Amino acid sequence: MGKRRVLLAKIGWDGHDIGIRTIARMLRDMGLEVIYLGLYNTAEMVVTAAIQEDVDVIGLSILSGDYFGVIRSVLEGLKQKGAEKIPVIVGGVIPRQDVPLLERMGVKKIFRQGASLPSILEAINTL
Amino acid sequence: MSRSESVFKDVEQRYKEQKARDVASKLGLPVKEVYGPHDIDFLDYRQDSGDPGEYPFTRGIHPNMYRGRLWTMRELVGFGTPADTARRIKELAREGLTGLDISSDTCTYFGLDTDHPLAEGITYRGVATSTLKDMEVLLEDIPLQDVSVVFPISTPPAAIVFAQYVTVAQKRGLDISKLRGTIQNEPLKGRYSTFGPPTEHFDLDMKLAGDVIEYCIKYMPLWNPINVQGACFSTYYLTEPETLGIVFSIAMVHINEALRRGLDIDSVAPRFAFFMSSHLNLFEQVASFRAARRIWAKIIKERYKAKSARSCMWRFSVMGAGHDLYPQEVTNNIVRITLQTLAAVMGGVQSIQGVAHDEPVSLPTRKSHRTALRIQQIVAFESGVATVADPLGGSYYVEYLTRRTEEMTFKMIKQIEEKGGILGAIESGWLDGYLEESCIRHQQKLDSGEEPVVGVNQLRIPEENDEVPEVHRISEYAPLEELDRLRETKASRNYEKVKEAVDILYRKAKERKENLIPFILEAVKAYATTGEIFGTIQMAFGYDYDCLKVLKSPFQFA
Repeated sequence: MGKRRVLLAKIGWDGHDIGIRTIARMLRDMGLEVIYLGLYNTAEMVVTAAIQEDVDVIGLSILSGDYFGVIRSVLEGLKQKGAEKIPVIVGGVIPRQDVPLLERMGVKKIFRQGASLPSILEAINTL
Repeated sequence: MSRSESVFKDVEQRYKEQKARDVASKLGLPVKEVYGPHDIDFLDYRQDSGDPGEYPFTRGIHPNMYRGRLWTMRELVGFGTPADTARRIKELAREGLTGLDISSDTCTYFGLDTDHPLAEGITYRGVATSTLKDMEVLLEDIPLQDVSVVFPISTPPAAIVFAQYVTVAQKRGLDISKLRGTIQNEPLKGRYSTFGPPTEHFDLDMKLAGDVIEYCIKYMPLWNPINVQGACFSTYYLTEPETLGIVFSIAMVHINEALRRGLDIDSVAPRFAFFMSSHLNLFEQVASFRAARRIWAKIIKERYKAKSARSCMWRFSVMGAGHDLYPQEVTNNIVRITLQTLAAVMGGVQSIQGVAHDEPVSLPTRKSHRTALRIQQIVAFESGVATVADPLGGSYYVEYLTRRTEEMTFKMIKQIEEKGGILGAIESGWLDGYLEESCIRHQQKLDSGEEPVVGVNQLRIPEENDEVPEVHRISEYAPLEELDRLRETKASRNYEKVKEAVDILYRKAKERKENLIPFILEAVKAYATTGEIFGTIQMAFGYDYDCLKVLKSPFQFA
């Protein structure tokens, strides 16, 4: 098995990128192939890149409050392109009461503040 | 061994093994077990401390500090429609606010309107002021002549939000020279504050920032036209000296610009205020605020040769560091915020923007917002901590930490100078890299447990045993209401007046000879939108009308 490929992106106008940049660097340092799209992407850009780059996991960072909208747009986009097999994990500010619904929608794992890098790595390696 | 036995074996083990760490936490400085007189042999009271209200102001900027007046108690509010925000402000006002603090939404932060085709996050975080009408609704019941208002928004849109506020006051016939408040108006931290517009045009940013400062020096003596932000840099888990080094480097860029415009240091320096994070590492934090006062005083006196004592006073407000807070066992954050508040008060702060304990989970609920205010009030009225100025002055440990912080800050300032000043440090990518390294180090410390966080990386309970905090929800109709109001305002305004005002603004912005604030005020008064005003200034500087490259200017410019 080659290096694990993970795409990391933020969608829309949400500019909180400290978490995602830190994770991107640390995962890269641990030997993963990180496709880092950074800020201000559309769901379409993320889906297209994920398919083109043949990634193993998509990681979204959401700190805007609009997590339902962002997640829905990506999951639907993946479905439309027949790529719903690509697992999506999310990091950010997401209240626990909304996690079950998001998981039912198709998000594989949600990470909040205080999440450890080893736990994120494990999710990426095993999903 | 039975389960019960093993639990108490843990108790016994902890009892034997738990001991205090040997570093002053975030400074990472190894510190001794105890400090004594010899550790502060260097201290010359008159030279290094002075009394409160006396150069170099280490002990505080006023002789009687909080006996004269308590710090201003604010809570940041901004969500939903202007009416929603105004309602929450009023509720908190009844519960004890002594000043206001209003958060703008993402659209406004981008200098765009809520009807932008790509607009999103409308009303989710902050309140949009796409036109003067929004600001009028927002401030409807607020007596601007009596109450101080803070708008923590960066340049460039800061100039427009400021103009919207001033126009509301002018329309009420108020004397603007009596208005009290703050507009954050600092652009260089834009890319680091996570709320900056997606483009950076330093020439335009510095022009507008300087124009606001200049305008206030001339017409609004009680208004803070710049609030240099250290808080956003703290979120990269920097030490205090690193944050202060960056903050003072940024402040100097703006001072230099004001001097370049021919203003006098003693007119300029007193107008600078600072916005810092307060962390829960109590003694280090207090030492940092004390050191900051001494450092600013020295810079203004020695580098800039100011003659007035007022110029050398470092005035600051704080918000509790959001990054000290965690979503696990969310009520624990009340303790963290209390420590942050204590640090700020013992550090001589002028104004506190309280933080709600559910910050890691959502915007403050009605209840958590009240609790945030109560924290400030309990510290103020029940603890006695505010009774004496600089209560930790003279502490061997704190005086030692103050001196060390000062030394390390000047080193950081020098390091930044060697990278070409803060502008050079930003443009070369050096500062980006520096901040990134800091974040990685912190994550490693969190993962290893070297930086202990109770309930998070130690003593963590299973998630299913943790309470699920209430979440503040925004009405789904709020964005629609916003759009309706914008549409109505655009339909009912005198478009000829808008065109005229925008046209003059464009010409003046292109010439770059005059202060643009009066022309922004005229455009705001005519109900030109935030996007129209910002877009026009962008075009005058040779940039795209729309930083997202979707809209074209609706105006024809000669």
